[in-house]
Amino acid sequence: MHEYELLEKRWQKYRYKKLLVKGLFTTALIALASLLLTWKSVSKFEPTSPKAKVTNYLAPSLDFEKHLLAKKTAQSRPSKPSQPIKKAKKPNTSHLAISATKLTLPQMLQNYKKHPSIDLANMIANEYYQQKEYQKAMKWAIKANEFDKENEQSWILYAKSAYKLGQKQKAINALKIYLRKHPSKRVKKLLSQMMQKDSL
Amino acid sequence: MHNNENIYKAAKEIFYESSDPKDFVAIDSNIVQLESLKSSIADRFKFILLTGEPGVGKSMLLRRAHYELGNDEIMLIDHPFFSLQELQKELSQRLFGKEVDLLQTAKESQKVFTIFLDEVQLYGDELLEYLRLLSDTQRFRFVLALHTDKQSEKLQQKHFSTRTYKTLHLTPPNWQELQIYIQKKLLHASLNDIARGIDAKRTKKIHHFTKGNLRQTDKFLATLFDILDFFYTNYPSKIDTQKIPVKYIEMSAIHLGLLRA
Repeated sequence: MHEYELLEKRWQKYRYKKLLVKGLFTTALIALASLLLTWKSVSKFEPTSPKAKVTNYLAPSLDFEKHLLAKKTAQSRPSKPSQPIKKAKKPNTSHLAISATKLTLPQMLQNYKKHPSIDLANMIANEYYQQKEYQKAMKWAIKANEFDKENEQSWILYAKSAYKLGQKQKAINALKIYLRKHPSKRVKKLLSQMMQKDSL
Repeated sequence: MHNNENIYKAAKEIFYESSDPKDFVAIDSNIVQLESLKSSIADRFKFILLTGEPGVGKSMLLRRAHYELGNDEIMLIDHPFFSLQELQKELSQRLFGKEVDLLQTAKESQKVFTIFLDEVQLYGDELLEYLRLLSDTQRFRFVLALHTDKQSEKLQQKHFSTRTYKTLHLTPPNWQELQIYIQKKLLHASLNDIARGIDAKRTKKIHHFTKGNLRQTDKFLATLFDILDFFYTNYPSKIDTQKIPVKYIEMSAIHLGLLRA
């Protein structure tokens, strides 16, 4: 074999190694980037204060909590009201959508133990609601509400869960209480659906 | 790109090392020094130093200056001496046609001899001291080409510091100058297609491997065209692009030990 043919084989080996190194480097880079993104996504659930913020101005909501905790599981499931409603306050509904696709319920529960947050509590409530576990959904809606009494999502999830458990009046009352302070179209629409016995 | 004839064979010939001053290629980094050296010949001086790292083009510039000046009283000696006797003998023979005492004869002569000496970094202390004595007679003056390193710096300091009229320092060309250097050589040989194919990307790659060293670049390109010649002759289907494939540039670098593979 001519020396230049041997040289070509050496070059091919060199090229192969070069591509391999490039490939490994790119893979490592992608892995690092996705790790970083995952970490960022999880860190969004961290609350500013791990303990629930208590505000007294929305007194009626405390009532619904008490009633709720004492409540036994009901079996009846009324017809469904309509879609969720426009939010009244900033909090992070977008986080819910993003993380819902990424985390399973056990992962959410695990994460909540480490980093309790309103977003995560709402997500868990929503997940239970989707799985038709309305009692648990109510419990987690209350947990979310403990972080922020004005959080619309937690009120809606609570009301919808109560409605599904056959506690129509409780659901309607909760929404009315919320509407006293927050003129939310979404809540209004949900309330009207409940009152008209629409399916949720 | 190719005619029926193998143009790579012709291309490799022009990059084999040449000592012909007609093969000098003017680029930014050497043209200023060449003009400066030529214009200094009219001045009074004892020593002019031409410095630069090995392979940067000092010898070729010295030959070119000697060729362009075309003066009988300017002598070029491009090989080094390792003993004083050798130096004395050669200078005597070439200047006076016989062996004479140069110091004595020079004092009696009316002429001023200009001597271009290459590879002076190889000269010992005794030879350098002799050159200094010759220059002190006012009948000899020297243009000395030597490598730049710590040793030669010491040498310059020791023997020539007070007698050096000018130091011309040659630096390796950047990639743009190197492209001009390569293309001029190819165009001079009417290898226009290949010259066009040496674009910025390929020149940068070649510059990366040779660091702009002209001797190394010539060697690199001679190897590259030799490889291309081989593949064009034996596997013509492998070489059918308008530009030289980077693969062959890397193969040349591997062959010359400039790339680990």
